[in-house]
Amino acid sequence: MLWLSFRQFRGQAAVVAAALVALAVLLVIVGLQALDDYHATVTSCVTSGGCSGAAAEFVHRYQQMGQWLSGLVLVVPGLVGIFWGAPLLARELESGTFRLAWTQGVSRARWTLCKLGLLGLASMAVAGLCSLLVTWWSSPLDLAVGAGPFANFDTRGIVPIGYAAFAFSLGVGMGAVMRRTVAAMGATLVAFVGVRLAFMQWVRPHLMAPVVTRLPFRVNSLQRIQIGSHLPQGAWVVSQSVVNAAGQHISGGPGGLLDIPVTNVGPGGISIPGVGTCANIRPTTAQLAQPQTMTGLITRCFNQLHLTTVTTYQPANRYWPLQTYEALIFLAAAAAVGAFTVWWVRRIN
Amino acid sequence: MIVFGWRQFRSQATVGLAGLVVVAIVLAVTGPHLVNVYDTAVAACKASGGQSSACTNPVTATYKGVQIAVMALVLVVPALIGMFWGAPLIAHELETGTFRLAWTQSVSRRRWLFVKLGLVGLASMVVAGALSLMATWWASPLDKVNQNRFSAGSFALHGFVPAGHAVFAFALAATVGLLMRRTLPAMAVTLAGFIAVRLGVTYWLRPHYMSPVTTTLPLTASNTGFQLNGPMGAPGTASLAAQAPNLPNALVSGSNIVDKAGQSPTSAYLLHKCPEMVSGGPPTGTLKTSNGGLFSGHSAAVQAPANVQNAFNQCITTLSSKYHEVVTYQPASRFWTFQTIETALFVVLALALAGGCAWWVRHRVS
Repeated sequence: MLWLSFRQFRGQAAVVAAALVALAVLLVIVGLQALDDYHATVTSCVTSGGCSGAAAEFVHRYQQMGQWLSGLVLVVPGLVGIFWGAPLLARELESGTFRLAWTQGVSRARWTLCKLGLLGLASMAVAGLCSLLVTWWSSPLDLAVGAGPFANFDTRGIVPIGYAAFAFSLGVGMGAVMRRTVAAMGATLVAFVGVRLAFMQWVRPHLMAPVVTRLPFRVNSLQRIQIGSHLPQGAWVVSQSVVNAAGQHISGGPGGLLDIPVTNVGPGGISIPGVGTCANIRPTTAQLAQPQTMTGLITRCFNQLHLTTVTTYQPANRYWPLQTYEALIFLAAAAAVGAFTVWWVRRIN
Repeated sequence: MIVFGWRQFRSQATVGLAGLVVVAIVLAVTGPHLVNVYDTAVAACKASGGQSSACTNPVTATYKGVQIAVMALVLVVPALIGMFWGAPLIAHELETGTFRLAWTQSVSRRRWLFVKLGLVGLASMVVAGALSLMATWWASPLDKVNQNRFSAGSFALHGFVPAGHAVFAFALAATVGLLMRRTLPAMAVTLAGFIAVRLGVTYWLRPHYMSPVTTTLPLTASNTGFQLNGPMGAPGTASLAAQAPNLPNALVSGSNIVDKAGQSPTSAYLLHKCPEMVSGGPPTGTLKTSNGGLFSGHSAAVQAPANVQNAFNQCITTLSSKYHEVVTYQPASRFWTFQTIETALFVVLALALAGGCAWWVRHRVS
């Protein structure tokens, strides 16, 4: 049975294997060159100074290729699901060859499991190899960009293996249920993209309870209020907001906090809607006419209201735990969809 | 035959239309708010005399998720139409053998083909065009801020050019399906082929639709970069890089530093004219000058020390008597002309493919 599955899969496997080998050769050649470059410019500049220039130069040279490669790792699981997963059972059901297959000495469950297992492993291997190659290739580039490990969470490490397993399993399930190849391919694409986006948006930030920091919020100049953050390097900021002394969120206008209209600036004090009132700061009529002085007073008001920056983040050392959890969740989902498919196939008449 | 063609296409059309309606609802709900954010920010920026943080374009941060989703959708929809509507159109009939029944009816092969291609091809154009025009309307406040709709990345996400891409993807897929006679490989080949054609047109063909405009600028320290490559302590090779001026919504294809004869300064000439740059400059990498000019043209460079800055200014003053900067670009006013040219190009390609299909069906498929 394994042999039959392999023979049915041979053509697709050959195409993908050839593409992978070509990619590997290209990446190893360019990658070794990039590593050399990196050591020659970015590493050696530590001794001579001027590192940010050298790093920028390095990023400038390799960024375009890096983006293409990340894009490739991003789409490979989806393509595997569409082109390997969806047609696997749908084609047999659509063209009627399942009647022949199921009346041989092999049980339906075993037939489905064999196909699922063999191609599922191949899908994981392809996505894993792609990700491994690109992760290795991009490591000097990612260091030079310096955006932290979470900047490319979806296209590095082990999560692409989980995505590919899930996309493949989803494709097979869709094919078994819909019994039409092209429709199953479309449905797989939509469902996979939907699940990935939903997971990214709503599940990933909560896989581990994020760390919460509360830091006093200081305004240095009203021109540019930056939400000050002294976060550990490479952390993934899940959310950041400013709260007033009463713990209420302060939401700014279109430009952020700066555009909160400061009303009631007068002898009675300064009052900033939603933020608080500074009754002790009473500008005189002369001061009211001077924008410079007023800016100083409003800044003082902001700073005496005890505003707090609340930041929730995942520190950089949680990168591998989060990768592992996400990969395992997608693998478990793949196994669940696979089990459903076997059950479904057994009750097809 | 038209009714029959429609009935075969009905379920796919329903899916396409439903998707379009969902997108339309999302855009109609979020669009007015985006316009509102833009107008408020512009007003706040003006009121503060350009000092407020409202001037740093809060629009680009509004509905970030929807922005990315809409752009990604307009980008991939032509390819999806090709794969899911075009590739199975003929390949499925050939694969399953239903063409034998279809071709032995009273309708000629050619008419059968033209109705199928025409009906679904028009639907492709309508869906991709409607989606793109909705997205263009929705993103208009963003375009006013970014001013980059002519750039390689965003030209194909605007206007009606996605309709041309879609009908081409569809015709390509139908042709590949007819030749390969199998749906799945046809879908994969279509995807790869369409991406290749789109990239080729974007980077090699589009900049040459009309002969570009050139403009000549004097060489100044703020639009010129000086780059020195070589091992530490040795002179190495020097080159000048020109920074293109800020041309909103234009497609800049090049900026070069040349003399009257069109020659760029050689490394030896530069090292001869600007010896201080070699002794005072960095052995490799980039430096940023205080007045915004970059030594190699990108923003993350470090600040130059004063002696290097002076040497650089002096060097540029010396060179500016002989050299100037020539910028080659397509002006912003040509945007809609380029949209028309590119759409026409892809529609003509699609028609040629359809003609090829007709010939093949008549003469080669038995």
